[in-house]
Amino acid sequence: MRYTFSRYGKNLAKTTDMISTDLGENLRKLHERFADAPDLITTQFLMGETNRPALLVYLDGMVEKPVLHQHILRPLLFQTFAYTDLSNLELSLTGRKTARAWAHAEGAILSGRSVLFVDGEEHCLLLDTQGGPQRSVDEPATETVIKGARLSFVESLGQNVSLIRRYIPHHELKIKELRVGLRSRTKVALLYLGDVANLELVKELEERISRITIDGIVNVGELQELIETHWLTPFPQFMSTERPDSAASQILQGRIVIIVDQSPWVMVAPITLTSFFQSVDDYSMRWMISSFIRLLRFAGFLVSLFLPALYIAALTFHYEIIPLNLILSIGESRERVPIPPFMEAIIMEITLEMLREAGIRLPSKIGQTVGIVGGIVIGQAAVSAGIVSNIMVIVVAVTAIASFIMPNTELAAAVRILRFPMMIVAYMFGIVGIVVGMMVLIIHLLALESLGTPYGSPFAPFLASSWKDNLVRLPIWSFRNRPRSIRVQQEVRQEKHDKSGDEK
Amino acid sequence: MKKSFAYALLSLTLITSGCLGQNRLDELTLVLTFGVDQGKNGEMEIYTAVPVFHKEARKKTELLHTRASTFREGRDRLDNQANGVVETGKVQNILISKRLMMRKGLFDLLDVIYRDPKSALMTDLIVTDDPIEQVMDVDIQDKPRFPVYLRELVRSSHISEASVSTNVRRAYDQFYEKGITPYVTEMKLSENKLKISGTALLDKRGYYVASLDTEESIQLLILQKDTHHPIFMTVQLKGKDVGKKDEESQSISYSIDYTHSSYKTYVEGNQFHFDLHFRYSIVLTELLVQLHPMQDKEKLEKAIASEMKKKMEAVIAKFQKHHLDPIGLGKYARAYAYPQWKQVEDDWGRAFSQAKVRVIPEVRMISIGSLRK
Repeated sequence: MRYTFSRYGKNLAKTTDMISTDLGENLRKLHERFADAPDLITTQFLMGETNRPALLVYLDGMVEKPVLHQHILRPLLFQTFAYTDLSNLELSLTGRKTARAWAHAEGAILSGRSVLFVDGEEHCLLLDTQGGPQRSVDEPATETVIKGARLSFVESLGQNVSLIRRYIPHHELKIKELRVGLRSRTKVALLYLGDVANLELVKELEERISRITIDGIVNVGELQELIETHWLTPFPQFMSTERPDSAASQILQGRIVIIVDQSPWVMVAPITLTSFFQSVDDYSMRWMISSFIRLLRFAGFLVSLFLPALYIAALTFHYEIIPLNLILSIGESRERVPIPPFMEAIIMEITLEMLREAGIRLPSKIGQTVGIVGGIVIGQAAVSAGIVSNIMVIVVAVTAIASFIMPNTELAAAVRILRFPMMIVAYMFGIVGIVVGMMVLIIHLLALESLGTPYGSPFAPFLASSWKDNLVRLPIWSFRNRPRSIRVQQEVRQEKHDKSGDEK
Repeated sequence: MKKSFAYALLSLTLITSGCLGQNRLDELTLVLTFGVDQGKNGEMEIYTAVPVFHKEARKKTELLHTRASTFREGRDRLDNQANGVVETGKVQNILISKRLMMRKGLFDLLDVIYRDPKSALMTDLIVTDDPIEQVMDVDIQDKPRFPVYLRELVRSSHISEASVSTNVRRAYDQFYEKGITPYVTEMKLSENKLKISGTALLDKRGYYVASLDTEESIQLLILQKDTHHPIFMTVQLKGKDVGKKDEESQSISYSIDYTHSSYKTYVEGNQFHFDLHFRYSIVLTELLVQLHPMQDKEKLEKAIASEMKKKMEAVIAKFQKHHLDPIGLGKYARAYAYPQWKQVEDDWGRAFSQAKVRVIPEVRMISIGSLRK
């Protein structure tokens, strides 16, 4: 049976028992519920002058200790006040709620609040004292840019929301909060512009998230796989970013940003293939340079996908297409190599992948060593040892550089994976195989969609007006409309730009 | 279950479909030059130059030799000698001896090449008077590999207007185009060095008829409008009114920087008339006669024009004598006098020999160089 969250909530309210007025009974219940939880701190004390026994419960490490001492324990112990009711307790703390059900109290304790029980009361007080380990806002680690902001998301959802809100301080920035995971109860927030974004997509996304019945998710990638529709594809259907500025820019374009608590990456939907070729820097540099770089990325995409395959095809089938002088130098460098071009290419590409993986996992000091060793392996030494040819070294190097040029690591990973089937078909069928592989890839890209939006847009379906921000990057003033593929409510993003200047 | 069976079947057909006919570059014997000479008993001597990639090998190019009655047979026989599958997709040049060209038509020789879709069409065709064996064995230790060297030789000589350049594809055009007769590059061996010696003219069937030297080849290229400006020329002015600068030299050198040509075609009384107008813009590069380039400008221009007219007419006369039209004036005849052309199209060479060709050059000196006189 499918178990939705609304039902989960209802069940909670029905089945749980209530807090008792007896403090000792409550303490017993607590220890029962939090058996084997040594970090549960229960402090029993007498409140100030009234001498009423009270019990403060919290999880060590989840709370902000100074707040607990300054604003709760100290006033309760030493201040003189007339106790009337739990909800009227004078404490210098903003967030507080009363609760009757054990389930609520338990949830509060688990999320880092502290709970105050007072003898004779059938309520308890939930106090906002969340704290715990947190990281400061740092520079982005992977999506570095030249002229963009130096901020990146952190592991707290609230902080991430505020990072985006700083870019769009507007009341139409809507935040829809959901919870995922029966055990983890991870907070997930959808951010979008209420009067721009396509609300159907928001609804669809909400539905997909609420359908998840997993016990827990720990990062954004898991959520992505749970809500995507095509599982048999190397291409990402959601774009993840760690940059608040790029997330804010996507929201302004009408897209939806998904933030998962405890994850410093956010997801953007819906996206198209061309979104992965855009970088924040494109919009801070001159448009001609950005356009050039963007075209370069497309070229890099094709090169890193097809170059090793072309090498194999040319050397195993179509020697005619190689110019004479090149064929002579290839012949000279291939002469010492005992293995066929296909094996040569596979060995080199796999070596490259291993090096890349090793470089990521290792601490930076050893990483450098790996780089040097790798340079020797995929370098002149391999050639002079007669394992690979000179040309193959160039092919591998160019392929690697071309795949590093892509600003998005997920797309680069997809290309890295697709390179191998391309090499195999090139080995079996030559250029015919490459063409068939390319056709299969294109058909696949056309069939793919991200949250109901065609992945191949603006090439198919053909939207010529969107090319100016997808294939190239024309001046900002020329982007009068938002991307049409998302089907936003407000198409127009800016009025016609007045370019007159000094000579007016 | 059904689905997985289908997948298994599909992958099986993929592997067993016979598409794995690879042609690995390092296992090929890549023929880059073919040489054909006449042999005994109507057979042909076929020589090939194959690049050798082994570091240990002393020679960079290997010469293979076989005897066969046809080109294709020769190639198949080469397989027995070569240490790899013989492939001809990258042939750079075909050397044909003049003796063979007198007995066998070029197009019958090349039939196998046109028929095979994998053969290279940019192959240069070269005719030589010397035995092919000697030509292929020429000493080129200080040069690139023989096929590459030969290719560079032909291309550069074409650019410097020493010879025409005919590759296999253009030869096809020259054969099937009725308004032109074929021509190929001619080469000779002098002092164990290769040298482009001009142009060999073939008749419509592809048999060798006559040769042009490099001087005459320039005229042919100008007539064909296949020149790379500037064209450098030197003429001897032998008129009485031109004073010698010293006892020996009486020459003047110039470069043609620009040529404007227009051919007028018409028929008068059953004869084809071609008026070939040329307007040359020339730059004086060397003046070794007693003439002032500024004051005697017109005189100089006229003298040069008449010299050029003389040379060009001599070349055209040679064509007409041999019933050849390598210029392609037949195409003009077809364009401007179609009814008359239609009657003679199958033997245009003969009709051209009776045509009246007038050369009307006009020379304009646009610069005399950095000297004032």
